[in-house]
Amino acid sequence: MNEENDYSSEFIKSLLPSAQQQKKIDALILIAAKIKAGMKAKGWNKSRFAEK
Amino acid sequence: MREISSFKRLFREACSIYSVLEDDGIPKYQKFLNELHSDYTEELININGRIKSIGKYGALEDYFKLEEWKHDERICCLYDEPDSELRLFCVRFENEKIVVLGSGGPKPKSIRAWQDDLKLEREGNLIITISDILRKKIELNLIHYSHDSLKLLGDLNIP
Repeated sequence: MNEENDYSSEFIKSLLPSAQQQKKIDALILIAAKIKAGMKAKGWNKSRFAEK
Repeated sequence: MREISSFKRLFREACSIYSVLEDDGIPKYQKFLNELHSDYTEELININGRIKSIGKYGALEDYFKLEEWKHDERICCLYDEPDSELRLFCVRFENEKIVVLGSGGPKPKSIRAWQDDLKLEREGNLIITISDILRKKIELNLIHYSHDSLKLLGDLNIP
């Protein structure tokens, strides 16, 4: 079958965040990703924290 | 027989979201929402927001709780907040452009690991099986990626 499912059903729509909530979710993730990328670039990682 | 199927009308700029279809043709993810929406409305709204965000920016590691899966590091959980109860098992492909959603449920604070809960154990083991099957089919060229790597093409049935 492999047909695409409709993610826009009324039920699912009722469980989607508002535009403002979505912006917040996007921003939090992007900030976390940026911080992690910055840490990696400086050679920091979890195991290095663990050693200290 | 199960199969996986993609959700349309989700952002597809960076990642496609698939879900496992049950024998009745209903995606497991939809059943997950149906089962939990009355008790976990806010959490599910947040998880849906994360899924939309993944569609826009790709399946970055930061969206997921990466469990220590011994044999398959693609298996992970989506959750709404780090200290929350809900877990949604999924397979995250290496290219960060495809995610397959399974199902899940609440992981009570009283248990240490998801294997300690009957439903989570069942759903966790199912997603492990699905990941194994997909990996094997890709190796055998029964499934391949589209040119933009945003689609899985071929035999998506899960026996």
